[in-house]
Amino acid sequence: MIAAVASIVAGVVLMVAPALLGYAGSPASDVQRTIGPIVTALGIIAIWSILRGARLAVIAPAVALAASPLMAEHSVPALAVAETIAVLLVAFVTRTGGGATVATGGGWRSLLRDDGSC
Amino acid sequence: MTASDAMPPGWGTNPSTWTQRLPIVVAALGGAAIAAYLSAYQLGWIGTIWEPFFGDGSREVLDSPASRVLPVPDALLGFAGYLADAVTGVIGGRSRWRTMPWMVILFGLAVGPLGATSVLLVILQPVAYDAWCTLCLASAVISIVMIAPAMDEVLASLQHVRRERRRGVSLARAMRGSPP
Repeated sequence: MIAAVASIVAGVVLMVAPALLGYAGSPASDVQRTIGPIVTALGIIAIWSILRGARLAVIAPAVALAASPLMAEHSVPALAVAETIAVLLVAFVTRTGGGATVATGGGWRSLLRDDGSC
Repeated sequence: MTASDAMPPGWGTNPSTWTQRLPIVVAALGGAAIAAYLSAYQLGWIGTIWEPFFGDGSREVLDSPASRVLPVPDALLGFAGYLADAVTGVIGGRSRWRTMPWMVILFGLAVGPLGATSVLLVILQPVAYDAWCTLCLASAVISIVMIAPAMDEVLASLQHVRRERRRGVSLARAMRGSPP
């Protein structure tokens, strides 16, 4: 749950930072406003134990965020603040929580196993 | 039928109970109401749109070229999607993960892509038009919130279909479901 909330916060930070910190319209803001909704959505989905693994999917957008200075100009110092907060939160997310809290007949992995567990 | 009969093997809860499904259906109806309101604006039936936070943001988003790419306004498609979620959510009883797997999987297919499309539209709003739309965001949150609660029932149905297949039942028959 904490991990999911952290992911949601990270995504919202990315979405609102360009307007709050004054760099809306820059190429970097486009990167953040693209990654932000994805991270937020994955965080919301990961609140439920059945899709807890979705929290690990934020790694891909986090890598894209970390690489964004190579793709878009980062001339505003505030960018570093927003992106650092987001990357730290995402790093926290991927190391926290996990596992279903309710028995689900072996979960999604049961569909791949061939041991007759489902 | 007892409650334990309706429980999928190895599960701690039955994902097809009304207490599990009704919140999703209510959320879908809420999303449908928002989408209907947005559609009414896009179709010209109402002249203004409620926007408490982003000035002319809603107008810019709802009047944008992207919202008219398809023959019908995008909000109308959202309305149809939410309605499909609600309808596929209410059909079937508390054992439908076993008696109507096809319907549960259809439900999952209706809920999942709607959420993914919503995320794309949330990205498009600020990136393409530098504008936000409050009700569009609310609709997106609703569609994303519905995904995970719907997926546990989908998992139970997929597990059931897999068990049936292992017993030698054809895929078509397994998808049709077992008798109650």
